[in-house]
Amino acid sequence: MLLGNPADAEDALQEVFIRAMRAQDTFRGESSPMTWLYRISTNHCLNVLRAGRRRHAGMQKRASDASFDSHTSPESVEDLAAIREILPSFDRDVQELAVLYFIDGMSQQEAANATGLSVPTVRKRLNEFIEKAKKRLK
Amino acid sequence: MSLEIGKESEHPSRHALTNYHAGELAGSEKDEILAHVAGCPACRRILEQLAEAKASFTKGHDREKFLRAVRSRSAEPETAWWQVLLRPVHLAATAAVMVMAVLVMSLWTPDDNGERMKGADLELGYYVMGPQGPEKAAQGHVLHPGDRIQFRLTAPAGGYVHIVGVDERGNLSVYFPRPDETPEAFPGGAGRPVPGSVILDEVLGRERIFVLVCREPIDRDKLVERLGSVPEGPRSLMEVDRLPLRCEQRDLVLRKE
Repeated sequence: MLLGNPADAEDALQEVFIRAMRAQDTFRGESSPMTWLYRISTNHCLNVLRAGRRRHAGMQKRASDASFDSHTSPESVEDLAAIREILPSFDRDVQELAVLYFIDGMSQQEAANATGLSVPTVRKRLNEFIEKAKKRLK
Repeated sequence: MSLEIGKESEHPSRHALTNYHAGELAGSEKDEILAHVAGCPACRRILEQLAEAKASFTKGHDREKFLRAVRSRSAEPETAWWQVLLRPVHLAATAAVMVMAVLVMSLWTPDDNGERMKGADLELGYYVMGPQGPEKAAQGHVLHPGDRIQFRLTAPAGGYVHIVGVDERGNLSVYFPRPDETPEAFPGGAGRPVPGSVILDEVLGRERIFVLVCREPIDRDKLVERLGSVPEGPRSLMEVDRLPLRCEQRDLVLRKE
């Protein structure tokens, strides 16, 4: 979903499996295997996006009505396009939290557990994301 | 628009519901979800959607074919870059935060200032646009937001050039060639400007820039994926495997204050 088209997602899925197999010795069991895979896939997708493979010119305006909260995922193409559009302008830790929270649908507590941050820090960084995103999407 | 962090809901998160649906939960966690879902139409709907998505994915994907593809990719020659790079890399991992607004501006062509080719040395440098025109940046040059720079390459034999930046958080930025550019062989020579320039944004810090000069064209997207395959981003190219053979590389650190 984050990458924007099925072919890239399929390719990313294969890559995530390969990376997970290779990194299995580094899995320390501090989080669930699912959470660990989420982080691997999130980091991989962010790197791909960050490297500028995609540019979604023109999405910004269409995404201006995007709305989502902690319990609902961004289901529309416009919401995802908005997130893809603005993610690269943030620091990596904020990018990762935004994906875990808004796209993967984690709670703040779960995002904190996945990243090793405290819940207040997670909330602070998500608020940074929101404030800057609002300015970008106006 | 309404982009808000909702209060932590009394509902299970979508992540928790996904874990439940995937059979990853057990014990009290599973019991709590079961109890909640029994009285929550909204969460039951999410579980239904997950089931539909899983069915749709399963229908459209042959599991054996997928596993064969994974095996095939993971069985590619395990050639680590450090084994084939012609020169050692010293990557103290201080890399660098300088998120750049990569704006390809008009090309300027600095005068050749007499830089000499040093044997087979590959060398990456850059020019900074000053009030009097482009100036060659000295070692340790400190950049500032809004500065406009252009990379300068000495590649005696020439080749297909890729320039990639990695900041200390592992963020990757591809500076050359741009996504809409077709890779073309870069002519051999000393101190040649790399087409396109970059305007630096407001983010301060350091960024390590890698230049790769390869004898054959390489797939840009694959290169990015390989570089991005290290979970926190490559702090050293030695961490990155399955990268193209017959490439030389150099790196430099940009500082922005």
